[in-house]
Order: sequence, then C-alpha cells, then structure tokens
Amino acid sequence: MASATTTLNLHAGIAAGVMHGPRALAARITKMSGDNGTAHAAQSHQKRMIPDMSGRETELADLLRAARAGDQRAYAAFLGAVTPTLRGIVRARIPTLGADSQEDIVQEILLAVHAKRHTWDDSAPLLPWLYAIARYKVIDAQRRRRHRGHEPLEPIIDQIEAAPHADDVAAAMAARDSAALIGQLDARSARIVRAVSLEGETTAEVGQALSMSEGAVRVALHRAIKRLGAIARKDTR
Amino acid sequence: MNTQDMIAQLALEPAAPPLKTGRIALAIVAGVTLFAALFLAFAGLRADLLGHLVKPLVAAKTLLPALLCVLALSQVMRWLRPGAASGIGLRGLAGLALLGVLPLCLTAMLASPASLWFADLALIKVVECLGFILLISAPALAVAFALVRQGAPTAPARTGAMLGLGVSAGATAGYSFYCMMDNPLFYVIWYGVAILTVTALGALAGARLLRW
Repeated sequence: MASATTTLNLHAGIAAGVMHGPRALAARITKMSGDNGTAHAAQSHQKRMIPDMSGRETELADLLRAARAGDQRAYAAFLGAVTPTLRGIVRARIPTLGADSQEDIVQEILLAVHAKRHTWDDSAPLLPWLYAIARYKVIDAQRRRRHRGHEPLEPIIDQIEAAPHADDVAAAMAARDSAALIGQLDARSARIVRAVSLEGETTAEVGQALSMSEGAVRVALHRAIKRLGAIARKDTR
Repeated sequence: MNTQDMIAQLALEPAAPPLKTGRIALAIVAGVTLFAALFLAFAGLRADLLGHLVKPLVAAKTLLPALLCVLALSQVMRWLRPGAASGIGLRGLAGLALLGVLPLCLTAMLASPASLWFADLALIKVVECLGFILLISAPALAVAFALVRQGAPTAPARTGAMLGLGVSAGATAGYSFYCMMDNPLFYVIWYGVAILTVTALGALAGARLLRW
C-alpha cells in the first residue's frame, strides 16, 4: 500500500522534485563569494549568433584555452556560450521533462564541465569533448530516474536511524521503498544520499565530485535524511 | 539561483591544470613495478632466470603480458577524456591476445602427445599462480584507480575493466620472473584466468569508483 502511494508520488517527484538540485549548490556558492561581475560578459556573449560549426569550435576552444591561462572572463564567456547548446541537447534527449528539471540537468552538465575542465586535450577538438560530457550527464540523469524503486533499503535505514527524530525512523521504515523515497529528493540530495549511504563514499569524496565543501555535503546529507523521513511519514499516513 | 549566476560563480574558481595522462600512465606502471618487485624480493626469482628467458616460449610469458599491459593502459588513458575515439576496445584487445597466444599453444600441442598436454596441472600450482598474480594486482589496482579518478571516463565500468586488465597483465609480467611453469598450455590458461578475474573486478570497481 505504501509502495503504491510512493510510486504515485514518485512521478510527481520527477516533475517537481528535482528543482533544488544544482541550484541549491549554486546558491551555496553565491553565499560563499558575493561578486558576479562576470555574468554580464557571459550573458552578452550568449546572445551572439553562432556562424558555423568550425567557427564555433575555434571560438570555444580559444575561450577555454584562455580560461586555462587564468582568464576568468573568458571562462565565464565559455560557460555562457555552451549553455544554449546544452539546453538544446537536454531538450532533444528528454523532451518530456519539465523546463525547470531540464534546466537543473543543464546546470548539472555545467558543473560537470567545470569539475572536469582539465580533461580537455587542447590539441583535440573541443565540441566532441563537450557533447560527450553532456551525453554522459543526460544518461546519468535518465538512469537515475529509471532506477528509482530498485535499490536496497537497509543502508538508508541505517542512515535514517542516525537522524535526530525517532518519528522519522519509524515512518521511513514503514515506507519500505527507500529507493522510491530517494527518488523524491532533488537530484543532488539523492546523489549525495546514494553516494554516502549506498556506495560508501566519504563526504569528502562526494564533496570533491560535486565541487562542494565537505561541510556542505554533511549539511545536505543531514537535511536530505530528515526530508526522507518527512516524505515517508506523508506516504504512510 | 539562475544559470547565469551559477556560471559567474564558477568562473571565480581558480583555473585547473590540464590532465597529464602520460604522467598517470607512468605512475600506474611504477606502482605495478613496485608491487611486483616487492613480491619478487620476498618470493625470489626463479633459478637461472636469464638462461630461461632466451627460450621464446618462456620469454613470451613476460613479453605478451607486458605488451597487453601497455596496450590496455594506453587505452585507459584515452578513455579518461570524454569524446575521444574509442580505439581498440576490450573485445579488440582480447582478440589480439588470443592471436598472440594461439601459436604458443599450437607449438606446445605439436611438441608433445595429447596425454602430456595438461600433465603438469596441479591444484597447488594453479592456486599459486592465481593467488600471487592477484596479490600483486590488488594494491597496484588500488593505486591505479586513485590516479585514474582524476579523469572523466564516460564508460566507468568499461574503463575500470580495461584498467584491471592493464594492471593485472603488468602484474603477470612481473610474476613470470618467479613462475616455473613453462608449458604454454598451463600459463596461457591460468595467467588468462587471473587477468580476466582482475578485469572483472576492475569493471565492478569502475562502475562505482569512476563515476562522476
């Protein structure tokens, strides 16, 4: 009975739940440092029309090369210039997803591009590199949605038991379907809970992968587990 | 927070030095060499190693795995960059390895009657061979995974498998200096089983450790 409710909510979760993901992280980044002067450069760059593929290739490669040399403005322009492309890719690959969730995936791809920006070989073309990252993160997002409901429960219960409220524990245990529960979290929290609770990664490792500080990961994990408890309570009621 | 603001914040982070895959590959080879050397320091080289190495069927025990190691690791380095051409791949490499060992096995089969082909098969020898190759491979593979995580493999399981293949092939080349089983029908099979085992472990580990 609980799992039927969970499944229903899961679909709602896909549409609405992914909203806070990278944005929450991004918000955190904003809090940490206030200046966003480079945004204007990126924005004006984005509005420019792109003439042709090889021109675009050269343009983006030059920007990322300059970024490597320490030019922050060029880097902002690079990320700004690839964003519309990424939006197009996400829209084409997951057209059924709501605009908000699509933008979350776009932001996830941008974070991945950022975290892995050192893996571009500047003697090789840039666009295939960019598309490969986008494809990888889109597939990742799709897999995450598909696999909700097929993951083991026990490690989550351990985590939930560590959470502050006894209510949460009981409710979550009654809800049974931990994976569906995680599925209702936003993408980023779900990833953190999965990585730490199911895959046994340390908060430091997760932080590195997501470009978050270890403390921020701990806070996010704690909140996510509390939220799991709340969702579980709602489902079993 | 909207995407533009996020971009502005990301741009404030310091530039990242480019990935040096050559250096990673060298470090992995150094790790494998170190653990193989440690093993040989404890277990000892086989008697008259150099005298045996001049025989092609014995030299192949070292050279083929070493070649396999180099090919597999260069493949892994390629896969650390998203969008790179996929290259020879696991199946291609397996096919190449089979082509390499086929003449060895045929030579051995032609040189002795069928009743003697597997005459030296003994459980203790098999356990020794598998056990020691796994023993050398395990720490070397751990080091290799730690290094490879700097990259961005878009096929984590496949990359992990290829890494397991490369590391265990290197470990096998080291182990061959200790191993006295010179019948290709023995070492092709059991070296092969050891390498395939680590390859499978690498695939499992890669699916978890190399995601990003």
